[in-house]
Amino acid sequence: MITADTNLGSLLDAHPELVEILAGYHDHFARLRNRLLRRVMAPRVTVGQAAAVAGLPVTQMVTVLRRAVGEPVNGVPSSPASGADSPPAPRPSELDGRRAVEVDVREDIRRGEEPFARIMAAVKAVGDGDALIVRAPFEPVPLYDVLGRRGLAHWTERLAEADWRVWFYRGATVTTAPGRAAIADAGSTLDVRGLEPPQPMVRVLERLDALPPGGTLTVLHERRPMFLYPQLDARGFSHETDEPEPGLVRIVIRRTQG
Amino acid sequence: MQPAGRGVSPLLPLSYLVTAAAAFLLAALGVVWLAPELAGHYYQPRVLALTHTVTLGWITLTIMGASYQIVPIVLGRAIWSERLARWQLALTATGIAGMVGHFFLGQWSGLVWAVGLLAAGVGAHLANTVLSVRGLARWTFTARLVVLAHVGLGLTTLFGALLGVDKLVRILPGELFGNLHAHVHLALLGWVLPMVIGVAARVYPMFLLSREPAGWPGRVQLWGLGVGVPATVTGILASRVVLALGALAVAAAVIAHLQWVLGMVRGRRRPSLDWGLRFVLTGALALIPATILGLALAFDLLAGPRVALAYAALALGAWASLTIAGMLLKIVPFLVWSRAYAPRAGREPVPTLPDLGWPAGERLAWALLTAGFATLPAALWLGDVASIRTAGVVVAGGALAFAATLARVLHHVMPCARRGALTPTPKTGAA
Repeated sequence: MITADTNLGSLLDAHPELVEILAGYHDHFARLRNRLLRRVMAPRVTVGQAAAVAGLPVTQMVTVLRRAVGEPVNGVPSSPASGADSPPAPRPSELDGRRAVEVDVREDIRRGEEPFARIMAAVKAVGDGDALIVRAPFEPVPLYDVLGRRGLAHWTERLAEADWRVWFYRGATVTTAPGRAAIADAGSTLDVRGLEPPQPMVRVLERLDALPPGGTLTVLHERRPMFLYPQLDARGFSHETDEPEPGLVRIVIRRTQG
Repeated sequence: MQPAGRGVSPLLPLSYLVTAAAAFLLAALGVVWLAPELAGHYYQPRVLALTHTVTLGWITLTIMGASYQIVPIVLGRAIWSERLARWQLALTATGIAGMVGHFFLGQWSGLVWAVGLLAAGVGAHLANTVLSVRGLARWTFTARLVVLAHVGLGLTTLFGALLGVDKLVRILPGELFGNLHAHVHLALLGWVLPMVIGVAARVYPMFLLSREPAGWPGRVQLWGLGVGVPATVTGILASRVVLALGALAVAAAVIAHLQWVLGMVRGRRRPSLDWGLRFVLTGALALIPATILGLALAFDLLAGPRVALAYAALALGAWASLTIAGMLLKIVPFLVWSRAYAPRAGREPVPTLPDLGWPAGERLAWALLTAGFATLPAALWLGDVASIRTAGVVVAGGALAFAATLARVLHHVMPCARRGALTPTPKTGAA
């Protein structure tokens, strides 16, 4: 019997035709038509989480799926609306003063790529005083469980129709609270590893456009971005590069003029 | 922490790549035109002109140009001198045009100035590369193979120049065809192969979104080429046993390379392959029949000019050309984007790389070039003029589609095209 806790991987193994129903609710699920992606994505998601991604009440999703496979639809427990309809929670004070590592997966998903490995690689770099920011075109509900098991709490913002920003952070209390401006410009980090060129350059330049004078951005890259440097020079940014370990290049960029 | 090196202007590699693509188109049309000559022995002036249009005009200019983009990225070092690189293109392209022209006319004495210009261009490239990588902190797999390839390029050029002089004044020992075969294999296995598989180890993961390959296959490739290429070349000149051992070592390197490619394809995070990657992977597949045929020739299981021509078409056409065409479909849009849109990125919506491409043209080019390069070796082996011409027409159609695809990307360098692309439409939205 299908419930909110039913694993999507097992469900689609038994009823692959349900992909079309899911795809009708959200473009993201259309990618499950690809067998490779289905094998990677579906086992991490429950029906309840899929409902949240699609912005549907869980009850409605379970009912539709049960009807499609011929299971009885009475007895489906009622559930609250998904996160998309819930009022936004206030920003936790624990986020103030944290060094932020941002992973923007909107373009990956638009291209039909599975961003899970990028996100998990970035999680490794998140220390007790850090926050991981994930930007996605929908609410990445399955991540809440996956990263929750690794001790990361989350706080979600919906910036636009298809632009969600989720902060993942460890529960350590931060005593200093320098304020929002400091969060935005001091010590922020952008991880562009695992992106196909020229996306790393685009992401960096987008972030730098909003950087105030004197602000710094640390970029984590897989290689020295030789085509980014002339753009930084032309836009009045100073930059320094080092390689703390093989395969990791760190570029510290500072705005030197207004 | 240290200040970063200076980046290279995208126009520098683009100027090489556009010249190379023109040579590819010319060579493809040349296959149709020279079908009767290709049905005969390969040692004819016009066939030599066609071969050098492919090896120098298409393959070598592409590798030189791409290296001015890729070497700074994969080795993290700025190019020592962009000005020298621009002079190098003028010298090399003029030298190649002179060589091809004199080969075509069968005027050996006129080759001297052309070979001199080409040698000066190659010398400039070697100097620029050596001065760019000197003091490199980490000698990675790619860095070692890039250096090995440039040693191969220098020796190939020297050997080629000696062959040219030998046509006027007999200076080389041994018989003509042995020397010719050694020169060809020095170019193919000593220059093109290490450069392609060295760069592939860093570039393919970038585009397939996979882990960078590592482990014993890397050592097999390094040792296989480091030992196998000198053994193959000296074996061709002096000893069949050494040739057979060298061929086995090179074949081991090729198998290890294919194992890495397979691992990267299996471990990729990109679910769908774009046409550039399909070109590259089709080219990698062509290494299998090319290697088998090469081993058969090395072990004397097959012999003769017809098989040799089929082998050359497999290696230079099916493997090298498809691989290089695929890399260009990835490199050229990036360079054009860097030139046209990077200065605006972050400030306003700019097109993405897929917005610059033309998938229908890429698909047509892939289908025609794959079909053409699959049938051309068989047609050459048979020595049938009509079959060679038919395969040549298919290859030429593919080359035209490929050139049209590149032209469509390149037009974004023009200011009027940029204005159109920056008009806010759903297609051109920023990521």
